[in-house]
Amino acid sequence: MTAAIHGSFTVERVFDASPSRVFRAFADPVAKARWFVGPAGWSEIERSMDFRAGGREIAHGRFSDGTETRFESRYHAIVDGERLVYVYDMYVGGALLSVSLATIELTRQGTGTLLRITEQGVYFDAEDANDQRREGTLHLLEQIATHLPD
Amino acid sequence: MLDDQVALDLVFHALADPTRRAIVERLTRGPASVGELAAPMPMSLAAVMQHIRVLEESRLLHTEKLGRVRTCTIAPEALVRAEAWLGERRILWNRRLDRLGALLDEDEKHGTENEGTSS
Repeated sequence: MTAAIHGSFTVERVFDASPSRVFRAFADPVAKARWFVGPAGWSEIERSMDFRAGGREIAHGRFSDGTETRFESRYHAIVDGERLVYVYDMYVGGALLSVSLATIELTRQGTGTLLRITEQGVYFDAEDANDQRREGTLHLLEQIATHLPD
Repeated sequence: MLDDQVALDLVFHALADPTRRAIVERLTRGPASVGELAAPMPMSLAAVMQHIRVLEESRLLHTEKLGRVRTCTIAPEALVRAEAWLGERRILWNRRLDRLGALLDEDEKHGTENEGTSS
């Protein structure tokens, strides 16, 4: 049995482009593939996207150490140029790591666009933590520390 | 308990400092007293206690006073890993948005803006 831990975060960014242009970067599979990448050191194995309510998106890849990750998503609500809601499962090494609800909101701001991403999720934490996992945690903490937003 | 951006910001802030990362690393090997944590540090006990207070506020560790000795224990690892998970998702989004911003700028330069301004 694993513990279920809940969390949420929001990321905001202003782009010097119209909401419809920014939205297109999410809606067009070719455009999205150019920027919707995995973490550093991750390479793609499979990618597919069906952009409509009820449609699915998959991004499957692996890290240089061979660990595979799989993002399996379903679009729930799409408002052209304004909003996008999807739910995704995140698998790491074949195990379900998290299930998240993501909301993408676009608001016109002057001549640009304010993009707001909100993710609310449940993270499944294995109880059989061992030294290797602890090392992984420390590595992750270091990674976070070196990528601080400020 | 993690339903708050503030919690994650506190963790980011706490881990931004190498001394505090050293304390967290030491505590993953087991609990330690404030004195034990301070011994290898090239700073005053008061300075180390200040760092411990920041870590405690970020909930990365908790302390307990037994008699005259204050003992520090790392917060349940599940909590730490959950914070790390959230931080990782946020870092990933920032990385993607950096790329998206660069692509939007690039496309504009190449005159591929070919749509109306309404949305």
